[in-house]
Amino acid sequence: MSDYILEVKKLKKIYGLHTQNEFEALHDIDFQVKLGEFICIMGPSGSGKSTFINNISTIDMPTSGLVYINGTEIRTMSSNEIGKFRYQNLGFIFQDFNLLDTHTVYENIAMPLSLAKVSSKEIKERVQTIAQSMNIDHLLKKYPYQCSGGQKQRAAICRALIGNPKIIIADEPTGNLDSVNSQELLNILKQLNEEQKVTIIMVSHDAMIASYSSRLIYIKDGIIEQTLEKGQLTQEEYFQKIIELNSKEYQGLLKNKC
Amino acid sequence: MLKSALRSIKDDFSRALFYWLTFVLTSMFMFLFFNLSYSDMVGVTFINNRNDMATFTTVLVIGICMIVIFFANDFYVKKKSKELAVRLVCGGTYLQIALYLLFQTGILFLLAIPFGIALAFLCIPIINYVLTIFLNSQSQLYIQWNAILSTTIIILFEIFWCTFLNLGYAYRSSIKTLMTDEKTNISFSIPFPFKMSLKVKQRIYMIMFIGPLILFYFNGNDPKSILFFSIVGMIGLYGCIDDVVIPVLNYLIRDKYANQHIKVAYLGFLRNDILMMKKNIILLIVSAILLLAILISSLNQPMEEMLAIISFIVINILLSLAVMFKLSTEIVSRKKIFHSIERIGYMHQDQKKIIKKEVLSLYSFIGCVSLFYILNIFGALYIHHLLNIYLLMCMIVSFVVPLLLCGIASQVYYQRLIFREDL
Repeated sequence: MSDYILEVKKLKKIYGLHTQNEFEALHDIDFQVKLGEFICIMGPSGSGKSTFINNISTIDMPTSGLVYINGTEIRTMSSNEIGKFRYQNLGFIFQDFNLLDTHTVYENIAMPLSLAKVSSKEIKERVQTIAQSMNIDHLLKKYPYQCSGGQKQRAAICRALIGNPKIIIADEPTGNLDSVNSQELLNILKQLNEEQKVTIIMVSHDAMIASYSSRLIYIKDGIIEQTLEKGQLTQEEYFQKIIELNSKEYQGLLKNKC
Repeated sequence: MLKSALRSIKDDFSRALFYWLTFVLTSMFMFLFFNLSYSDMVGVTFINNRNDMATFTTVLVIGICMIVIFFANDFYVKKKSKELAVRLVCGGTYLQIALYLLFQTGILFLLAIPFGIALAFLCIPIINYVLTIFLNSQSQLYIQWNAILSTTIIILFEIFWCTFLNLGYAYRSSIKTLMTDEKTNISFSIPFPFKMSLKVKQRIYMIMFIGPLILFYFNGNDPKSILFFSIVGMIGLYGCIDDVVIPVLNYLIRDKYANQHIKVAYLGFLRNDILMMKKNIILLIVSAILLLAILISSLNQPMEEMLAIISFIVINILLSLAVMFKLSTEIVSRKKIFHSIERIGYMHQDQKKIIKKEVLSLYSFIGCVSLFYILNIFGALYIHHLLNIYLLMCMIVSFVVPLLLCGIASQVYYQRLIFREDL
């Protein structure tokens, strides 16, 4: 049995395969995540961050290569198994919240439990508990369009967490939030990671946000160009290192231009 | 501008086809109506008119035709919001946007009107046949050339009206709103002057909805009573949707079926659809009742009776189309929702079931609620010997069939939109 909760071998993603517009977005990526890690994926726009995160989380299927989540290779699963696997193992948080405007906040949060066929009574209890912990229990009867950005994101986190997923995938989760709500979200993620050992894989552009992670993966032009481990560094030192990494990249770009 | 308008029609062919088909049908119905109304047998002149009931029927049908074009336009333009935003970002003026939309509707209209009128020409012998055989009338319907003119003027007016509304939509919405196709959900309800518990409200609305049905059987021979009772019934229905149907759906989603993921999803969508369709359902029933009242008033006057029967059929077709267009406009924003539920863990098969059940439940709800009312009125009319059983059957079929066909079309469009990338 592998030590990794997520293992990626020779991951390749080609868009428009066998067409004139064929484009290789990811080139033979190898990547491993241990249980309880907090990983941040950074990189310039168009570097393949979202493609990478989508391909390692069953949202998209790789062109070639292997992706093992919790020991299961995702491409060997049928679409039915993938659906089941998704609500049992993964929780998603996105920049645009991805809440259903047709359903109330309560119903949105309860959805993964409906999929898992949890009893109505237990659904009620669990939704209430998680909503209280995120301080949105007073919003449960409201629709997402009646809530603010921060409230929506908290509802999205509740939905992502209610099924007790092993991995949380967050694609630019603070993208639509102000600084206060961003900070609050990061504290929640950090707490989940430290106290409940939930593995977090997060895409972000922001060095400050990346400094909350335990490991940073820098992707450029479809390959992992650098990896930074937080190790024993303080958050401030780690933040400085991330800044340096980013500025080196930009300096390189400027030199090439000159 | 003309070139890009043509390209836009080509790029969005399936929507343009729906829009064109609406123009064809509405121009056909309008033309038929103007022909019937202008004929010497009916004698509508609109100026110093000789026949109030026929004028009223014609105006009602033309009005419904215009409402349907408005819905079709909404359906056609809403998906173009991103395109409009790009044009505005690139420096396009509102006048250019207006012309761009006007060209598109103008082209579709020009392509539709000959077909509409040709179809109407083909219908005239059928109407004459019906007049002779079923109503024993010696009167025959001939082509009135001023009907073409009236139809064209009305539709042209409608196109300009829609273009200005579209322009208003683009002008009021920010570029960001157009770009992301965000919708503002504004709920409007008339508050009670005093506080009332939900249970009391539910009872009041149920009595208002069902009570008139009993009264129809006592006063079913009086068109004015039917209209009055129907108004009360429709206020009751409006309240019942908000205070009975929606709470029931809430209970089903949150309690009874909370652990059945397909039901949780489609009942939530259905709840949203019913709230959105509330006015359409009322309009569908009210129009049918109005035309039944007109029919009763015009018994023993074959041409007017014919006009009322055709109006009933035409309005059912048009209002079913309006339901379909309204649902289709809503469906456009569903792609993102289905994308979200897929991420949560809903499989493709689940999504197909959700679509099927949502459409089936919605159309069944509309059909059942409307028929519940209309069938009782039919029953009352039959008891009072005002309508024969064959005519009743024909009218029921003419009510059910368009709704059924629109339901099938909605289902196909919905599936294609969610599961095909190119739409």
